[in-house]
Amino acid sequence: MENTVALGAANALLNYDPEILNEVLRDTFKPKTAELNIKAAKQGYNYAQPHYPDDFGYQLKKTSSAGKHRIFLTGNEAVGLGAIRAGCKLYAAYPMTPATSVLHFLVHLDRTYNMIVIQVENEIAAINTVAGASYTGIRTMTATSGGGFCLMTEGIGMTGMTETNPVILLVQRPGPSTGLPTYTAQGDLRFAIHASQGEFPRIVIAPGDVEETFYKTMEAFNLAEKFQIPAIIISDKYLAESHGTAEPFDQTRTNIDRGHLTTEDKYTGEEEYKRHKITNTGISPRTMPGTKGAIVRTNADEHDERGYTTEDPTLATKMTDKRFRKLEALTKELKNLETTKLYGPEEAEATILAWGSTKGAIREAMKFLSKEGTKINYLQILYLTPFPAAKVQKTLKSAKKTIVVENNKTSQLTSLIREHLLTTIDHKILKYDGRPFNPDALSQKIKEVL
Amino acid sequence: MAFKKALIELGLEREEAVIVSGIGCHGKMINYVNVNGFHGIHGRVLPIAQGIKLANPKLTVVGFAGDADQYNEGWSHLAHAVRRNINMTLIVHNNMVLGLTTGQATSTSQPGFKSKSTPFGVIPPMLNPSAHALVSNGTFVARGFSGDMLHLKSLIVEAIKHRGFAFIDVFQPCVTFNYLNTYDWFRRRIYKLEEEGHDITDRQKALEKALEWGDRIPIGIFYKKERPIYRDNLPHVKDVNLTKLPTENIDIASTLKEMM
Ligand SMILES: Cc1ncc(C[n+]2csc(CCOP(=O)(O)OP(=O)(O)O)c2C)c(N)n1
Ligand SMILES: [Mg+2]
Repeated sequence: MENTVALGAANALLNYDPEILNEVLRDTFKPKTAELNIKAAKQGYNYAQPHYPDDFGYQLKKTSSAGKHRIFLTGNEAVGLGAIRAGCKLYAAYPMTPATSVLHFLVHLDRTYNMIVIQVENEIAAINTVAGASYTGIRTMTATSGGGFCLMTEGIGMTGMTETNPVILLVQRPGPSTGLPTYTAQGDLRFAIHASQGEFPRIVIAPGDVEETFYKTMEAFNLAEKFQIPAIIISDKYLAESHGTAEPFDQTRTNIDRGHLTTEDKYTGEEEYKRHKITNTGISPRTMPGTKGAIVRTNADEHDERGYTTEDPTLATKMTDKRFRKLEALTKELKNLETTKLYGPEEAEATILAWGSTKGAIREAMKFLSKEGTKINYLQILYLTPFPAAKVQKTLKSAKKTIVVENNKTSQLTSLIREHLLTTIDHKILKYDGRPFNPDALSQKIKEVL
Repeated sequence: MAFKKALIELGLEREEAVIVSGIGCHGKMINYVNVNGFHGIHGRVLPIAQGIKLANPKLTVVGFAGDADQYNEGWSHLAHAVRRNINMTLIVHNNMVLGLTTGQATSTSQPGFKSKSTPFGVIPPMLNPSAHALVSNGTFVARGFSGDMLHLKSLIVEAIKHRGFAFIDVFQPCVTFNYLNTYDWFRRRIYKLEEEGHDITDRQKALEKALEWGDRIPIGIFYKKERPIYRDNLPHVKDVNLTKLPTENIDIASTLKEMM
């Protein structure tokens, strides 16, 4: 109850309407406990008001959006909601902080939304279960963190080869190995991009806040299914488990696009069905096993169009090319999607480049700096694979000075930029102590490099 | 062959069956049977197959694994699949050797078995998959022999008909790399449980039989029992084929409201 006294006192310092806190207390507790808490808050308020009059410096005011309801949720819950809305029907996972709360969230809703949510024996089982289920034609997802993602790598390659399309959420924490298991980091970007042997197209998306997490999760499901490739959503402990508020999600903003999928009832099947048919776009029409007249065969070994194992060199080349043609088609499609976002003035003293959960701290730091008259802009990179090279290049061209902000030691984004654009970054602000950036400290660091 | 015959006997259409195979000589299975197929990676037949069956319960799902595939790489999946009791069948081609990788010892190779990886003979005792399945609360545990095709076929038919997870360990001698456990070796030792009045509802007896090894080796059904399948405890999807559910227009308004 001391905390409630403190809240009441804080309310007095901020000169905020005590009735608002009372409402929250009534919302939170059972009536009896609520009344006791309201009393406690009042005591704090009444003590602080005469003792610290008017010298606090900050005041809280009701905003114009008061009365309008916003939603309050974590990044992991936003992924869960995005998955449900995207029509995900099966979620399989093994607990690992900080990804576990997706399992907790979804399992409470599986009966409402007719999903199967299952805790399996390990992450190897998880990735293979969602791959198998994906083969039947439903949308599936799994989530894990570093160690679990290590176990999934072979399975991810199998999804590349079998052209199955689960969505995989990778919630980063500091490594290597068990590292700082309950803290945050961005050290797995390269790992997500390259996980598994061999070469195959994939998607790696990094949302920066709860809102983006919801919409980008839906996008991940659409693109994964349309291009029949695995999609990895990469977030981190800070985004996944911090609560944020947002406008209630607009359910109409992202449509469902199932790509070249023919459901059982619509299949006409005049010619022999070939699951891995070679086409111009590389995308083979999909139908569901169980469809009358179609044998759906897929294979983790190199295979022909029908899914039969092959060791033929010409065919092996053709099939690899076929899979990579999907990447070309995907890259084209991404031109019309929000793969980067620019914040701040067009003309700026310096340009920040970053991905993922650093967004909040960066935008806050920009506000501090702009109050002092320092103009900074910021390019948030949402797609790491395929890399939106043209869009990043455009920003880099007009940048006077570039700064990468990242929660890792080796600045993996810098290396990606160098790889795709043959250019380097002027300054790096890196943090790898398990803690997210603090806006105040970040603005100081930015000033140091200006 | 026994599997094809079993499919015919069960009157299954090709489109209704899915076979999932692992990596090993057995893995080539999907190239020989013209039904739906998923040739997965080494050791992971069970998670893939369970994923398929969870999604679409209308499909008849049969997994084919090798002994190294299932009992080395995929050992942990076996216990969990058995206890989960998803309605599917697992057939393990147990040749007591790693065939595809040209003859190393597996966890079902006999102690003393000399192979490329054990030139002085296998040191530890063998794993016992049937006993393992029994103590993991298996509902259908059987053993077959590829030298007795008709018997094996009838086991497969029973396994597919069983409502729950059915497991058949099949002795399938590798004529190339296992000089020890040959067709002849098995023929001299094998006897059929059903011919000796074994009670397939008695788990204690079943375990005793599964542990028998040496001059006499039993084949047939060790144990069979009905137990609710995994889906029976999911009231919302008990009789639902997930592939038939809509993907579009899932209204999340009520959940959003709870978050306000
Ligand atoms: C992860 C992984 N490890 C190792 C291998 C190499 N490998 C291929 S087949 C095989 C074992 C085959 O033995 P078994 O499962 O008994 O099948 P058999 O060939 O005897 O039918 C191994 C170890 C692999 N493909 N993948
Ligand atoms: Mg073998």
